[in-house]
Amino acid sequence: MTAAIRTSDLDLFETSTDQPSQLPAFLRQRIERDWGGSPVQMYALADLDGELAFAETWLVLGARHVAVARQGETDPEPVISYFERSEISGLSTEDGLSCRTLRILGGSDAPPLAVLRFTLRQRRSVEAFAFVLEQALEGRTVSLADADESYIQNVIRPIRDAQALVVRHRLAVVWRLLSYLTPYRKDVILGMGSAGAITVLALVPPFLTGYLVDRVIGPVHAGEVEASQVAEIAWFAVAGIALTYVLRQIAVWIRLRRMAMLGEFVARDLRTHLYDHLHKLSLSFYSRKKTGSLITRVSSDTDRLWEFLAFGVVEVSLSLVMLVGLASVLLYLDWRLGLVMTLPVPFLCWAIHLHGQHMQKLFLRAWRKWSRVTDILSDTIPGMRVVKAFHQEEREKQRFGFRNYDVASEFNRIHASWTTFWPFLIFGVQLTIILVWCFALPRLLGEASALGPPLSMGVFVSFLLYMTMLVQPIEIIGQMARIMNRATSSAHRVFEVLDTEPEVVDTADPVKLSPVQGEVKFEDVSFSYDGVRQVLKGVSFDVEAGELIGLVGPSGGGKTTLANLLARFYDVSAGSVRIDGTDIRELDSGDYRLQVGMVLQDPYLFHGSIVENVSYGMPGAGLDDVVEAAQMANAHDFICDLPHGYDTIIGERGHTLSGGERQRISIARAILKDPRILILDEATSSVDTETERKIQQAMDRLVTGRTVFAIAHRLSTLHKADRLFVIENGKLAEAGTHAQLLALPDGVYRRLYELQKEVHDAA
Amino acid sequence: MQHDNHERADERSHKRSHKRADERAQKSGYESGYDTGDKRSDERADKSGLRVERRVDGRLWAGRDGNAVPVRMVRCFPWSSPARMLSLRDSDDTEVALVANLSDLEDGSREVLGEALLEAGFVLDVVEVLEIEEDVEIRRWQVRTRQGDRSFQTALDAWPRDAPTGGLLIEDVAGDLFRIPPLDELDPQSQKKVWAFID
Repeated sequence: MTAAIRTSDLDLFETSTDQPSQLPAFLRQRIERDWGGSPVQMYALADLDGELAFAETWLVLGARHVAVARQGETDPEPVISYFERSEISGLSTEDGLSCRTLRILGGSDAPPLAVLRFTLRQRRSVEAFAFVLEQALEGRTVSLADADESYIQNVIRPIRDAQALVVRHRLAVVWRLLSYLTPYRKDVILGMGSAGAITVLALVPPFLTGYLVDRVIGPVHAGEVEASQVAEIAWFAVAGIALTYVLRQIAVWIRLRRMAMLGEFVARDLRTHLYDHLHKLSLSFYSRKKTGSLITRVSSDTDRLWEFLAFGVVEVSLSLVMLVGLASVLLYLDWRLGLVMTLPVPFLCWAIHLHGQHMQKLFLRAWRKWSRVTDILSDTIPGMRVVKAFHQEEREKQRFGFRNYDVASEFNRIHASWTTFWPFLIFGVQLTIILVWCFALPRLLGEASALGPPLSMGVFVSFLLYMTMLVQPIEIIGQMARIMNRATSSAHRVFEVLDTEPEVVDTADPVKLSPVQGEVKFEDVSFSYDGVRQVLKGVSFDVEAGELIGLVGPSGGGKTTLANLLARFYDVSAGSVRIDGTDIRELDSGDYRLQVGMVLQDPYLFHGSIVENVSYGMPGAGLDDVVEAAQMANAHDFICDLPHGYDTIIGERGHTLSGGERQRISIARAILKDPRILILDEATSSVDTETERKIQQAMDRLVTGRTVFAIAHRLSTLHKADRLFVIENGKLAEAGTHAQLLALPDGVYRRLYELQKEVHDAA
Repeated sequence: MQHDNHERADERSHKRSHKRADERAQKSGYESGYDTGDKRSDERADKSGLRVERRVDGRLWAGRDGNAVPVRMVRCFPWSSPARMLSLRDSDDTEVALVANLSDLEDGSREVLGEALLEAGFVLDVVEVLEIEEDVEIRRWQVRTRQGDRSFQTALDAWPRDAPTGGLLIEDVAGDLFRIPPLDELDPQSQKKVWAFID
C-alpha cells in the first residue's frame, strides 16, 4: 500500500466494501515478474463471473501488456492470462441494470482478448481502465496516478460524494465543535458554572424541608419543644429555601441567557466561516454537491448545532451531574432507601433508550411515507397547468388522499407507541416510590427491623421530594444518543465543506493586469473534470485582442468547458491558457474576473430590483450609466413599461420576466461592467425571432471593442465573427472565417451549416 | 508470456449459466422477462428478416440480408416490459432495429437476445438482511445475496421502490440495484430489520 493513500480513505474502503483494498501483493509480484520487471500501472476489479456470481478478476495494465488474473473457486492459485496492448483492436461495452460487460477485442474474427463483468461499484475503475486503452488506440497517452490510490478513490468516490464524513470517531467531531467555544471562554465558564449551581441548589430545598420536619415541626407536634423556641430556626430554614429559589432562578437566568447567546455566536461564526469558505470553493465542488444540501448546511445544520451547544451539551452534562448528585444525597441521607431508589435508575434509562430506538424505526417508516406525500405535492403544484389541461384533478386527488391516509396511520402508530410508553415509564417511577414506601413504612412506624433502623419523617419527606426530580434527567440521558447523533451529523456536514480545499487558488504573488488587453492564447490545453475523461484534448489557438471568435460544434464537444477555462473557473489539466502573454494561473483571479464578462444561456438574476441586478458587477454605478447600459441592451423600453420601472423587484418572489427580458438584463449587466474579455454562451437560444433580433442588436453593441468568445448553435447569430473555431470531441477541428470553413469539402462546419440551412429552408 | 483460452472458457461458462439462469428467470418472469408476446407475432418474425447473433468476437451483431453491424441492446421498458421493445443500436447510436417482441424473431436470434436480456436485467438478489445501520448521511446495509455477501450504502432519502415482480428494489450510492423479496419470503430477523422500509 502506497503512502499516498489517506488512512481515512482506506478506512472508508474497508468499512464500506467487501473487496480487497488493493491488487494482492503476490499477484502484482507475479505479473511484474512475468512482464520482465515492468511495473503495474493501473488495475481494476471485475467482481462478477460468467455465471453472474461474485468473483475476483483483476484487470491489470502495464506499459506494453494487459493481464487478467482470475481467482478460481476451488483452486487458490489464480489463472493469469496475458496479452499485448498492441493486440487490442477495440473495446465493447454492454450496460445492464447492475452488471456491465467490457470486452477487449482482438482481431475481427478472433475471440475477445478478455471479457469482464462487473457491478456498478467497479464501474469507475473499469471505465478509467477502458479509457486509457481507448486513448491509446487513438494514439494518445493518459498520465496515470498511483495505481493503488486510483483504485481506492474510484471505488469510494460515490460514497464520499453521498456522505459528508470528516472523521469516523464521533467524539473527535464533538471535540472540534467544542473548540469553537474557545473565543467565548468566559461565557462558557459562567454558563456552565450557573448550570452547576442550578443543579446543586436544586438539592437544597428538599434537604431543608426534611430538616424542618425533623428538627422543628416533629418535635413541636410531639411536645418536645416549645414552638417559640424553634420559630427562629424554622424561619431561617424557610428563608434559606426562599434564598435557594432566588439564587437558582438567577443562575437559570444567567445560564439560559449566556448559553443561548453563546450558541448563537458560535452558530453565527460557523455560518460566516462556512459561507466565506463556500465562496472560495471551485465550481467543481458545486457540481458534486446538491444546492439544497449546501443551503441546509448553512441554515438548518448550524441551527441544530446552536441547539446542541446552547442546550444539548449543558442538559446532558447536567443531567449526569444531577443523577450523581441525587444518588449521593440519597445514599448520604439513608443508604438503604437510597439504594432502593437509585438501583432502578439505570433500568429506566435503558428503557427510554430502547423506546427511542423503537421510535426511530417508527419514524423512519413514517418519514418514508411522508416523502411520498411531499413527492405528490412537489410534482403537482408546479405542474398544476398540466394537471388541469389533461383534466387529471380527480386522479391526483385520489393519489394524494391514499398517501395522506397512509401517512396519518403511520403517525398514529407513533402516537400509540409513545402514549403507551410514557405512562408506563411514569408508572415505573411510581412503583419505585411505592417500593420506597414499602421499605420505609415499617421504619417510619418506629420499628427497627431487617430493613433498617427507625426512619425520621424529615428524611422520608426529603426522599419523596428528591424522587420527583429524578424523571427529567433520566429522560435526557435516555435521549443522549439521539442528541449526539443529530449534532455530530450536522457537524460532519459543516466541517466537510470547511475541510474542502479550493481547486483553483492564486499564487503567493499574483499578477494584476490593469487593464487586460484581451489577447488569449491556448497552448496544447487538455482538461478533465473527473481526472480521467479528457473533455479538451490538446487545444491550441491564438486570439488577438478585440477579435470576435465564434465557438461552434456539436453539443458536448467542449465549447462550454473552453469558456470555463477562459474564466478560470477551473485550471487546465495540461498545457496553459495565456492572457496577454501571462499564464492565467499566475493572475490574480479576482482582479482578472472583474475584467471578464459572461452572458449565459439561462441568465441568473438575483432576487432584488432591476437596478441592483444591472449594477451587480459595478455596485457604485450611477443611474445614468445603468439606464445607458439598459438602452444598449434593448431592455430600457420594457423596463419603463413595468409599474415600478427599474425598482421592480424580480426573482422568485418578485416580478416574473420572460426569458428574453431576463437575457437583456443580463446583457445590460455585462455592458455596464465593460469587460475586456466577454463570453457569450448560447445567449440567443430559446427565444422567439423578434426577441432574438433585439438580443442580437444588443449583443452587436456589446461585443464592440473587446475580445469576445461567442458560443452558438444557430450559426446565423455569428455573422459578425472574425473567426470561427469548430470544437468537436474536445479538439479544435477547424478554425477560420465563415467563407474559409465553408470551402472545406468535408468540413464539420460546412456539414452543420448545410444542415441548419436545410431546416431553415424547409421552415 | 502465457496465452490461454481463458476468455473463451468464460464465454462457455457464461452460456451454461444463462441456461440455468434462464430457467430461474422463466419461473420468476423477471430478469429475462420472457414475455414473448402473442402467437400472431410468430408470423411477423419471418417478415422482419432481422437476424441477431453473438459473433466470435463476443459482440452482438444485428442486421438484415447479411448486412450485420455490431449493436448494443437497449430495453425501452426495463421494468414494466423488460423483454419487449428492444432497441438495437449501432456504435453511432442509430437504431438498427426495434424488436417489439422476442417472438418476432427466429429461434437463434431469440435465444441470443434472451441471453443478453438476462445480463441486462441482472440485479443483486437479497436473501437475508444481516444489518441496517444509519451513519452520517448514509445508511449502511449488510446483506446476503444469491451472489454472495455484500455491504452497500444508500442515501438516507433513497427509499426502496416496488419491484415490478414483487418485493422491493433499492439502489445503492454506486447505482447497483438490490432486490429484496416480499416480506413473507424473508426470515423473521430480516423481516424485522426491513420492516420500516416495506409497506
